[in-house]
Amino acid sequence: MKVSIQLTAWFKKYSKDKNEIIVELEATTAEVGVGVGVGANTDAVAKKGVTALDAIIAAGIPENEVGIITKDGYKISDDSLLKDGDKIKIFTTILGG
Amino acid sequence: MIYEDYIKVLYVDLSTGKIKIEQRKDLVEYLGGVGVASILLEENLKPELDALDETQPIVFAIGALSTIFPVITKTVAMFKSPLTGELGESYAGGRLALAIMLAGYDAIVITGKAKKPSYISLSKLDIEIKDARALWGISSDDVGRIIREREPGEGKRSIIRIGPAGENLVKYASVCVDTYRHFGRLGLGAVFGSKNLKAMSVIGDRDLPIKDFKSYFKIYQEIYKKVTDTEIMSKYHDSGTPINIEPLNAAGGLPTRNLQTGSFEFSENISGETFAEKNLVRKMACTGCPVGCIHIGQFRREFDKGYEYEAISVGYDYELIFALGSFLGVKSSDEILKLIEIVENKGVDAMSVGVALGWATEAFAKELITEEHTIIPLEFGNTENYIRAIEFIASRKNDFYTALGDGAYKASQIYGGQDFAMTFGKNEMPGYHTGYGSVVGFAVSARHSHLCNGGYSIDQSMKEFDKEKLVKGLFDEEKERCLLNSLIICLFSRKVYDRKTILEAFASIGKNYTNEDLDAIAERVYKTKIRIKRACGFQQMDVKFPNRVFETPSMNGLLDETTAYELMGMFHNKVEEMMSEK
Repeated sequence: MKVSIQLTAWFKKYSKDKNEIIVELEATTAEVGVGVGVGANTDAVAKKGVTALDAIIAAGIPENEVGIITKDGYKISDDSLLKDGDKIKIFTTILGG
Repeated sequence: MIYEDYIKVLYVDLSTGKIKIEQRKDLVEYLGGVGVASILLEENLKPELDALDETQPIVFAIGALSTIFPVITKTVAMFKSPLTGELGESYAGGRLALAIMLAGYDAIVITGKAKKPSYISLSKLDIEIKDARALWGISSDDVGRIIREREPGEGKRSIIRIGPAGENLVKYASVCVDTYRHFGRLGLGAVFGSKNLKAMSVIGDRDLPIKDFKSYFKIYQEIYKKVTDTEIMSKYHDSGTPINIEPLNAAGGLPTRNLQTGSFEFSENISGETFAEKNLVRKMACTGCPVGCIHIGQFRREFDKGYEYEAISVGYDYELIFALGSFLGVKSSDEILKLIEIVENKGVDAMSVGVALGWATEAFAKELITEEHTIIPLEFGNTENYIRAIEFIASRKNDFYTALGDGAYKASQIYGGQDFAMTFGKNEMPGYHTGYGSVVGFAVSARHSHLCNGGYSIDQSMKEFDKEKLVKGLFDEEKERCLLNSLIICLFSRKVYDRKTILEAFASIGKNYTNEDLDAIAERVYKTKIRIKRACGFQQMDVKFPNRVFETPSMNGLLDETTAYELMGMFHNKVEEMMSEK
């Protein structure tokens, strides 16, 4: 799936001055099991979706520099799941004394 | 004092002209900065008297590590605030801390009232109270220029001064420090005015050799590297604090049009990027800071017909852009710089005056006040009228502007609209509507400011809302900053100055503290501040939140009134617990 990350001014140093970075990501699979460790019974296999944070890391942007993420103009958390074609916008952390 | 076992205090009595210098060993356990200043304030304060009574003290103090380590650049001023009637505490950078240190003092206590307008001229060997009658009534910029021309000490001095608003006792009048920095908040300028004190020039003409240079330079370099290598510090230098406009606006935490909303449709026009591209002409640093976060912007003004223009330069920061920009619906960087210029010349706190005008604009729209009061219509986005309104406030033009010069809290008591007078503990709000951390943080902090406990930062980092964690976060930060403000670091670098670094810095100048010592100092200082507040009659649970904060969604959604009061109560209990411990 492809996700677009719209960049505010600060992050353009990670995109050679472009306004966006498009990243291509694969959803990974994760086993959801009963018990822990080797030999535990596996009940189901679930797809682990791609989160906003996955996309940011994949784009090569240091996650600690990202304070606010929005999608369609609304603030979302970094563990929000994304789908193919989503556009997110990232902002710096809030500074101050 | 560095390398000494005492704190050197200079007392100036403006009524009698008498000077006294004391070496106070008993103050060492308060470290310096806000620790020493709060004890000196407590000793000299007349809590039962008005903040502008001539007997009230102004205390300046530099920190225990002032200016010999990177980013330790600030001076604290403490006084009884005419705006809130309780603890007044304000910080400024510039060259003042270095000048006071090299003049040979840790703290200065000014009491009394000069018989005529005066200014203090201070150096290592000389203290004079000079005639300032010719300076009375003129702008803070011009006073700075005239004193620069008349007084010696070029390159080693700091000049602090008030404008007409301070002389006219506007209760949020500021004191300008070296043109681009200020003791902005809580009305120190009015306290200067009440003492007939127009300015103070401090010349740092002493030398202070470092004793164990090797140890000192090792830790100095480590701190310097940390400061200049971090991404946060690079942001402060590149865009400066105005970089906040974008994230706060996107998240709905940018107070706009008297907090009727949390985002501004013209935010791009006033973003840090726009200021940098359109107006930025220079970056500067306080003495002792390798970062250089002071951003100077320029705008062009036509002063006569026939294409006669002048270029005006003023400093800009996030808080000014919020208070004079989004909060007033002002939608261009040039207009904001124009408003900053009038704020500078008249000598008022940009945040308080912007927030007070936000209330007045809404009160005008709701017809609680009319043009009979305001003389000119006050409308969001009408910069020219706001400029005139700031002039009216500074000159106390009529009863209405006198009330507005007493603060939004006072004005709304007289004219109504307290639900949308955006004050906390009578102090006008800072530019963060980020959640319970900011709102409750303003209400409980010692000076009702975001700078005491950084509540906005907790709102930003807290993944899931947890009442206990939030209150503990605010309380711990409030206490830790009592330590940091005793050093006095610039709070922008607070993550660099962790406990390990602080202990190593002290050790390199021969002062061996333990972590427990620092804990005890932080608590001792916080308790002193609370005692001062209480002596002035402050009651935490009497603080009322303006209803608007519960109507306009914050960065973290709509806030609930009952929860906010509950959190304030929880914080209050922690303070009670601390105060009851011996």
